[in-house]
Amino acid sequence: MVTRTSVLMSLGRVFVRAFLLALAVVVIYPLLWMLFNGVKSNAELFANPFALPSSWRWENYATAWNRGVGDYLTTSVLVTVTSTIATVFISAWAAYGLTKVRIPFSRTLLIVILAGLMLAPTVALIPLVKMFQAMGLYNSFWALLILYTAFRVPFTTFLIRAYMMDLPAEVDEAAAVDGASKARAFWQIILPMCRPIIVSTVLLNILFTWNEYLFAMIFTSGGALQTLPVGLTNLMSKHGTDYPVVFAGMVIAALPVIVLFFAGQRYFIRGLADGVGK
Amino acid sequence: MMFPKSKQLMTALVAGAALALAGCGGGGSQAAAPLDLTKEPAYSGKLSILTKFGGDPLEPYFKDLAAEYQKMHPDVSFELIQETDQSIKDKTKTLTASQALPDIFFTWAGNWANNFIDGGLAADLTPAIAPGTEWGAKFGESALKAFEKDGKYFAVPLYNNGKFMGYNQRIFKELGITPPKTFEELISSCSVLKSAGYEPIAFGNKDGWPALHYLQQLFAYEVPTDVLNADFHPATAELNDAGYLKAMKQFSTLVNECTGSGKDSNGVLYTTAQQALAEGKAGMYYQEILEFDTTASKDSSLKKDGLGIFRLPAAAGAKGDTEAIEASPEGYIINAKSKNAALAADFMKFATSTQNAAKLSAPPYGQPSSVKGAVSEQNSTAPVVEGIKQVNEASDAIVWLDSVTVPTVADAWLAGGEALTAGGQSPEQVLASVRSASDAAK
Repeated sequence: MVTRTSVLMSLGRVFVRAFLLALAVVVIYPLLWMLFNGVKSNAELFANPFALPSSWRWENYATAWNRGVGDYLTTSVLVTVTSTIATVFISAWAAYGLTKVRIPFSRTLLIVILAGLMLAPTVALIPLVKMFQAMGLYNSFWALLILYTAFRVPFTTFLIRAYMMDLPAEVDEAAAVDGASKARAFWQIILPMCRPIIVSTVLLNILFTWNEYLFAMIFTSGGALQTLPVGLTNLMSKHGTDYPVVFAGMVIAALPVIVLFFAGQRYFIRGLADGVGK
Repeated sequence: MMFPKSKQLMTALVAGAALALAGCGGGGSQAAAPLDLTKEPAYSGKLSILTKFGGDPLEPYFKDLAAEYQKMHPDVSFELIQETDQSIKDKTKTLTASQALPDIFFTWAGNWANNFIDGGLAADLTPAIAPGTEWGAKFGESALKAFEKDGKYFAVPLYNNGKFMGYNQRIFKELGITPPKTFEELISSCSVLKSAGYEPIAFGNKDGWPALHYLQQLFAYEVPTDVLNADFHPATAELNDAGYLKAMKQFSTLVNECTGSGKDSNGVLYTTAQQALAEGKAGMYYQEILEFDTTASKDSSLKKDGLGIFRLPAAAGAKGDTEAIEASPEGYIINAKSKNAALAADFMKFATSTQNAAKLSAPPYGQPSSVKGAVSEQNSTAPVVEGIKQVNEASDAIVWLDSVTVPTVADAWLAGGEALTAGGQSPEQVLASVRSASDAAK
């Protein structure tokens, strides 16, 4: 017999699914629109922006690639990989020192590191330009690597430290009893135990670096050094833009991050949740 | 209150740049001393250049120039900072604020260039490039005058630009329309195009500046030149000439009678309007010379139909300069603080040699050089050649309204142009709000 409660529950499920479906359409439709318009001609895009392509011009992807997207992609991959590795290792070391090692002024050090979270990149821009020019690092790959690492260490340390604080102290004590040095305990015991938060911070840093625009625009110039967010604007001109080629470039730029997101989505959520309440 | 990131950036950079400019100039208008170009430069050292030639297809131009110059002078090296339309403003502001401007840097004409001149950051090139000098004689006089202040010349005009009404030659021929000679003829041709099923004039004002381009050309026709020039500067502006109201009424008529989107044009992109002409859906589109080859690109219907151009016609009885044309070159300033200023000037002479000027005007670059005779049928399309010829022959070149005056007044005009397009304000109300912005900027 169908009860009133079961009808209400079924209705609720239908509403929830309809809502989630609508949400999925809102998220996926712009991506599909970008994909479809990336294989049209400029005239077709303006004439029928919401229709399916009449012919699929995959050559737009080759054009985008040849107009610099290949170089921007290489630079983006290099700077993302190196800055993420540097950020996560520096932050993990810092978090270990702040939670598992007795060091003088550790509280002050923690405040100094976390104070970095309060510094808006925009405010630091002008002194940074002067400093990097004086050091000969302006307009170089090193400029981006140093900036991305420096500006991400505070937040990453904050997340890893919160995770390490929850690890049982007995593990460190057991390692010490077995004669492991602090460094060995870090590499062989603590770091492997922190795998979930390390993966989360890696993903968050990749997302940040991949999409960063301000520093990339100010500290680099020319095709060989520019990352995707800045490089894609090179495809646009006030006096005439081949928009399908720009869309093709945007698809190439978005694809690695979308794949990465689907591969590691549970870590994204975990990374954010682990940072809460600590 | 949270500001969007771009606004935060702009605020920080503008504040920093303003401080830097004020610091350099001692707090007031203080142009740099004339550059000594009589002595031969020492052909050694590093030249840094900030260009607006970033991205495809312009990027190789300065690279090639630098490589050729280096072949002649092996002890000279280059640092090129190549930016695009999108990034050049923020990059220039950051470098100015950091007091790290390169030896040679890009500038627009008007208020943008005047900031560097007043701040003492633009080398006075008068002895080298003023009309009548050997180098200056190579350029059209209107191009040089775009960077003139108080009788002194502060930038090398690299390429020229101007605003023309582009039209579809096939459609005009089929409907028996000839390029109009007066504003009234232009309006009456719109009804012919409309009844034949075409959008008479494609217009998209989402960015605000397309309306200002119409208004500035109409102001040049309707407002006496000396009054107009005085009104650009808040210190001398009165903004009470009746010509402004007449020009704004003409603009409203054009929007209402000739455009397909009418009062909704503020929601249309200029690129959509450009495409409407390119695909043979519109009869006309008001555009810059730099747009000609994009509008009539090789795959477009317009390329087959033929792109013709004419100047936006003045109304009968206009009291301003009916031979003036809205045109503005883009140029390069030599940093007054540069240790390599003489070398920088020598490089810019090389960049504006007849051979390099012709190379700049030809595909793939297609930037019509300001050097006289550089744009020809051999390297440019017929509309570009015709447009540049008319700009060189014009009695006066009027700089874009959004860059000829100070930013607060330009913003008031921008809001006014949008209000006129949407029909939200009368010309009297628009003029009153611009006057009040100008008074506040005094």
